[in-house]
Amino acid sequence: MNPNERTARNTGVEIGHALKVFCFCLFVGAASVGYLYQKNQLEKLGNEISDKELRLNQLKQENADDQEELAWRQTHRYLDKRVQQLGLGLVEPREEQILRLEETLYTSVPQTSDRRYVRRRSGAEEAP
Amino acid sequence: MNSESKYRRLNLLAFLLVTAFCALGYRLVDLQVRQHAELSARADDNIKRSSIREPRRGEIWDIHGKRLAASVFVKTICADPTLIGDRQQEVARILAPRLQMDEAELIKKLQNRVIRYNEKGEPVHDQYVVLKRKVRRETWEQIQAAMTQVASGVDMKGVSREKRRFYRNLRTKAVFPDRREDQLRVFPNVGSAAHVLGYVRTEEDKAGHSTVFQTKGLYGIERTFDEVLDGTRGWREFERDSRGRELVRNRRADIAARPGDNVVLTIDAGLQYIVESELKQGWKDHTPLSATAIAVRPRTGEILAMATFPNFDPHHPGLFQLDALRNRAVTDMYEPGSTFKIVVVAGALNDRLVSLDDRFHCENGAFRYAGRTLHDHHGYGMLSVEEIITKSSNIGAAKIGIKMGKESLHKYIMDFGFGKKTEIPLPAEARGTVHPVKRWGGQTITSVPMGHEISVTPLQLVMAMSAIANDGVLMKPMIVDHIENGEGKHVRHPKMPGDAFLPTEVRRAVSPRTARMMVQALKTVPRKNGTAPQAALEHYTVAGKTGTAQKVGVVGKTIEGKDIMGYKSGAYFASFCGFFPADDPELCILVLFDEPKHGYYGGTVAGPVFQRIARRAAKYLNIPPEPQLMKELELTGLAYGRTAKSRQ
Repeated sequence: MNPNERTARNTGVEIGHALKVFCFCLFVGAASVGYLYQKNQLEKLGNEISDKELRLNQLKQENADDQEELAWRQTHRYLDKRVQQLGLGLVEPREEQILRLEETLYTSVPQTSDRRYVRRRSGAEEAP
Repeated sequence: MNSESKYRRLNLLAFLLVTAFCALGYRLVDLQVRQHAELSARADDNIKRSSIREPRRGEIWDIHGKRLAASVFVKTICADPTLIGDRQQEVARILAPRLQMDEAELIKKLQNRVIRYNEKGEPVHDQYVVLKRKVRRETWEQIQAAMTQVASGVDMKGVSREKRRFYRNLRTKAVFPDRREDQLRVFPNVGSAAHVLGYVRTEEDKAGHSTVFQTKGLYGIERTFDEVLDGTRGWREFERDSRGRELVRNRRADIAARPGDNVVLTIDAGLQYIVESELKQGWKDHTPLSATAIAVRPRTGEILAMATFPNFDPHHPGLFQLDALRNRAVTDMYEPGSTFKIVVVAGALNDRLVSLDDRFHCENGAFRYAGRTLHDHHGYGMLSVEEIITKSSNIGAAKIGIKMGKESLHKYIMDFGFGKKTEIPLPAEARGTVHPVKRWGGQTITSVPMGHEISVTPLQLVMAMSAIANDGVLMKPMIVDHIENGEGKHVRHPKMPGDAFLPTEVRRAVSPRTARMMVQALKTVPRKNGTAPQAALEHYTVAGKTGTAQKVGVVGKTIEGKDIMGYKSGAYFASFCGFFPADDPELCILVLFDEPKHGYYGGTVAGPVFQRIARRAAKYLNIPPEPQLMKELELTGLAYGRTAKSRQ
């Protein structure tokens, strides 16, 4: 076998091996990059979750603040003050200005209390 | 190079590699096995963190769901003086208006100070100075924005790296909020129903290895229902990176806090406002030591309003005197005076010892019994039992008491709920004083019927009057309607039985027949010839009773310097307790003044306040006017704008 022939055959074998190694490296490299990409994505999503949680907390707090503001604005003290400030001249209606319908005559007591009371009382015996 | 030499080198290389791997292996075993515990702890210390998640304290609502007390999360603003350098004045100027603090005080707090010396003798500086607690989130955001502008005039181009770091820290780290969550209790109605709601205090509490801010109820509903309002803490275990950011993917535990449950009261904020504004007017007119009013729904025992003056702002209870913090409606006892005549007359009627038409001679205003002379305000001759109530005759009531006897009178006093706690879920309730019969003196049988030698709480009295309004059945007072969670579902608590918040009958004090007779008698009190014409209403019949009781106190000193107790001249309790519409009662109201000036009779001092509260309450609660009265008014043609006086 002349040396040139051997070199040529050897070169052929090395290219095959190199290709395999290249493919292997490519696979390992791609897997690594993929892994890093996934890790990065996890990190990014984690940060997004963290930011969203912060935002949610902030919104909850704003909601609580708004509810507090609303509760204050609904107080009779505040409403009375505003009526006076704005000079609306609101007064309580006189009895003749109130129109009562027959069926609403006995609903002044909150129904829940009435129901409960009736339930309790119906079972109670009346002393002589 | 021959092959032997090549192999030798290869062997050497292999040996070195194996040795190196062995050394590495040994190191790995050393680190991973032998030093595992120590290093693991160090690593955990570096990256693992846990945080407590504070639950929001439950809210207190009125019967219509209006917020009476709520919580908002707030910040504790701190400073690290070591990062401020010599810029205290500038930082204080920014903080002072936002924290509403004095600039000089802030400068003092921001001074860098040594708190101790370490083992090496080096000074340790204070890096945690609390500037202000309970700062709202918006305020903190303003401070954060303003702090970024500190030293904005400094040209950073020629500045050293160290200086640059100093300015960066000054702007972003020198003033910071405490990591721990704190809450601020907010009462939108400020002082309204303050004695019922109570107040809270923030304490530092241990939670594992860290401390947390804990809100504790100290008085009122806040205290009684502290466990209900207080939620359950949550926690989070996480890892953080070198920049201190949380690594969300490595979160180990994330347990959400469970907010406290909400307590729904029977109090009606609208009616509470009416009662308080009218009581305040009475307070201004008569400048008493204290004034109390309670509005109860007689059929259920629900307390719709409970007010006491002087009152306080529950946001700052520490600024008020202890006297103002007390809920006198349940904690204070007083001699009820003539309002107590309802007990003796109801008892005698119930035992059928007397009827409303039976007549007693009232001795023309002076009746001597057991060595003491009883007096009436006016001298009366023969009065019927009904008139004894109408005129509030002490002598008449005493004679009825004598006819009843000690045992029977004592039984009715107890049956009407006096001498025992009503068990309302409010702290420091007094039981009142009812002496056992064996301790009664000779005059007691005449004193008790007119409300002397006995003490009651305002709540006991209004519940007793409510019993008469409620066909003779004494109800347990209700202040809490129910407890619900954040999703609006009713919840039960282990310490509270299922029917804890249902109207509960305590006992039947008198028969329905007796109750009806009592109503008939009590209806005569707010009439022209009664003791409280000023308590009458135009569209409703009022039934009630006045009370004018002399106060017991120190009236002198013995030679040895000891106090002599007795009835103080010129010091009275003036009260009116009544309900309306008399024959179908919707509301029972007690108004009580302690040592009023400008008049002291219950009818003239408390009566008008009752009348104003009742008139406004009737409209607010939409109580239909009595058809009979409306008809009368229409027939006379003077219907509207006519006063109750003219009707009489």
